[in-house]
Order: sequence, then structure tokens, then C-alpha cells
Amino acid sequence: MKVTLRLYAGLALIGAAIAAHADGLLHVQQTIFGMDCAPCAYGVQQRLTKLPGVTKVEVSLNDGTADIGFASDSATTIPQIYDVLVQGGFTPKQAVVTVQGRIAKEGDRLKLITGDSQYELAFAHPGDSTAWQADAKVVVLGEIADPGAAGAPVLQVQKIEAAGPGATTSS
Amino acid sequence: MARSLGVGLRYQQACLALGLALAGSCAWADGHGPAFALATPTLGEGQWSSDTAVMSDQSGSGTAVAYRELVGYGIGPDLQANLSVPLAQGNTPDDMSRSSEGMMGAGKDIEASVLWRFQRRAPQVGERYESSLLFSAWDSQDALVEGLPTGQGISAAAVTGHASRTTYWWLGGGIQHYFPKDSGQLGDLYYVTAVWGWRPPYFQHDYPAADWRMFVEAVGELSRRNELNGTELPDSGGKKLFAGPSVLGLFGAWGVEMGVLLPVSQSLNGNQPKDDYRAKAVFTYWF
Repeated sequence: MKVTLRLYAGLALIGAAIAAHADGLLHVQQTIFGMDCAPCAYGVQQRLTKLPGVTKVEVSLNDGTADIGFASDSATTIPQIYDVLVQGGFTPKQAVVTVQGRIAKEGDRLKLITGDSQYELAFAHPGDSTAWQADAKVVVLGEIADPGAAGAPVLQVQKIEAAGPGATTSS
Repeated sequence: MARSLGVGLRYQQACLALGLALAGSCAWADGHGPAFALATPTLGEGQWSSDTAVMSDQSGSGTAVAYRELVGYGIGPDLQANLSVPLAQGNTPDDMSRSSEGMMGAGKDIEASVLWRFQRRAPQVGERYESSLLFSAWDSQDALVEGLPTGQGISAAAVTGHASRTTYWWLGGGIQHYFPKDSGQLGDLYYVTAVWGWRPPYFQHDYPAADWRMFVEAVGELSRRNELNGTELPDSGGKKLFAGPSVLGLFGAWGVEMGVLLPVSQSLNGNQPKDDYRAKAVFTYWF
């Protein structure tokens, strides 16, 4: 009985730890250069599927893309996706990302904080960033032009909306 | 003389040990390129592959059939190690001529090789330019080749090329050197390879649909005369040029390639048998 209780307690702790490290990625469409054959696509699919919390990987050779879906508690980060593709011998390019997190402000600049990661938010029209307050929970759709760049990825915002019921705005 | 022989043997053993160590530590593939020519595709880091080949050469000596297995492993994104071993061999004529081997090896050879892709550039979706070096070492297990017992050998090759979703080309060349064995020594073999490939629009469906491509391959070989007791053998060495078609089918983790090379010209130094054809089929699985 005690053993069973300890087992359940252990599993609960592991679950809580995993949830605590969720990194906010919901969907990524990753462009990949240098992928020209079926075994390349197979290799990309295998590698991405092994990342934590990945629920779907669809690879298109003709478009040179990988569509990656994530569970809400996925701990996978953009640098991890970049690294596994580089290790496979490919050249990752821009990524269209849907990610959820909370807004943080540094002066006039907005950041998106997601678990252990953060993104610099870039708006086509600077005025669009003023609609969002610090700590607002949001879902952002945007493009990262260079996922391999050092530092926080710069997310060019295409659409941003409140994570829960609330206002929606686009950029 | 004895000392120089000892140093030579130690050198040969060191070369072979180096090759085996490089591949043996974490061995992997003939790959998803052409059947005979050198090509650049390299396994990703941590990726394994298995290539099972059936090879047949026919010449005036008769017909040789060999079954071989090649296991490859991606040590890094641009570095692949391979180990190629014989599975079975038909009744190979003792005076069968040599051929350029690439990664797969030939006959009874146990061959270890490393493929290092030292340059790559991917300018757009589905396209890449890359260049690689191939180093290998083998032990022929005392097989008779061109009438001489053979032991160990080493080779080096370089290849550069382009792959895309519609066309492919690679140009390469290399040298195979054979160490002396029982007073005999096979002459060095120099070779150049060229391949052009095409994927017809009908086969340009997206993954995971089957992916077929066709190649035209050419292999030119120049072999030095063999030596026995320090004397050059008259019926050995010469120039050969082969060309022929091959086809590669890829289905997710599976691949199959088949090809045949036919002699275009053979300018031999003596009266040794000429080649009639070389044929090869390879079944690949990527883990």
C-alpha cells in the first residue's frame, strides 16, 4: 500500500515537473534547406518526433518544410529544433511559430516569456505593441527569420491575441 | 631488408588498424546516391544504415558474384564511418580483374572507411552543393586477384557534386594502393567517376510517396602493372572506361538501387581478359 502511494506521489511529482517546464510552443512550420530525398525527410521526421512533447511531424520535400505540433506541456524549444536539424546535416531557415506565454516589458520593447525561454517581439507597426500590458497571457503567431542566431529569438509578430477570453489584435 | 620489411608490415598494420578503429568504434552506407560512382550523401549524426549488395562482374575469365553488407554510422553531421564485409561469394575466377570500390569494397575484402563532407552549401529548398573525402583500408583475406594473392590496401578519394529535387551530378576520383603480399603486388589503381541524375516530373510527388531517380554513370580506371618478385608482369594494368544506367528508388526508410556498367573502351597493357559488364543491386535501410 505504502509502495503504491509512493509510486503515485512520484508520478505526480514527475508530472508537475514536466508541466512546470512547458515551453509554450504550440506549432512550428520549420523551413529546411538541403533536404532533397525521401531518406532525408525520414531522418528529419525521426529526429523531430523524438523531441519532448511533439505530437505531430509532417515533412514536405517539395516545400522544404516540417510541420511540427506540440502538446501543451511540451518542453521543446526553438534552439532544440535547430540543433537536431543541424546534427542531421541540414540547414534550418525561417520558422513560423505559434507560441503562448506572458508579456514582459523592457522600456518600449516587449518580450514573450515562455517557461525557460523568451522571445523578442517585433511589430510591423510600433504602435501595436502598446495594446499589451506586462504579465498578459497571450498566444503569438510570428516568424523567426534566423532560429540559429545567438540570444533570444526575434519573433516578427503576425498575430497576437489573449490566451484566455479577451481582446484580440493583429500586427 | 628484414628491418625494412618489418617497418613496412607495421605501417600496413597501423593503417589497417586506424581504418578499423575509425569504423569499428561506432560503425554505417553505400548511401542514396549512384550505384558505382562516388557521391557525397552523408548520414546525419547518430544515424545508422544498412546496405546489402549483390555485385556481379563478367569478363573473359568468367563471372564473379559477391554478396556484401555495409553498415554505416553518422559520427557527426558531416562525418560517416562504414564497415563493409563479405556475406557470401560465388565461384570467383582467380584472374578476375580489380575495379574501383568506393565504400562497398569487393570480393572477400573486409573494408573500413570514413566519409568526411568538408564542404556543403544549401542555397534553397531541396538543393545542396557539397564535397567529401573518402578514406578506406581493407584486408583481402588472401584472396587471389588477377592471379596474385592479395593482402591489405588503402585508398583515398575526393568527390564534389550537386543534389536537388530534379537533377543531380557528382564528379570524383581516387586511388587504391595495394601492399605487397607473398612477393607479389597489385599495381595502384587510379579512377575517376562522373554521374548525372534526373528525377522525372512523374516521380516528383511529395514525401512519403516513393521517390525514384535515374542516373547515367561513367567510371574511368587506370591501373599500373602488377609485380611479382620485383618484376612487372606483362599481362597486367591498362586503361578502362565504363558507362551505364542506374536507377534509385527511395521509400521512406527503404532504398533500392540497381545499375550496370558496360565497357566503352579498354586499352590493356597485355593479353589479360577484358571486362564484359559490371552489375550491382543494393538494398538499403535507414534506422
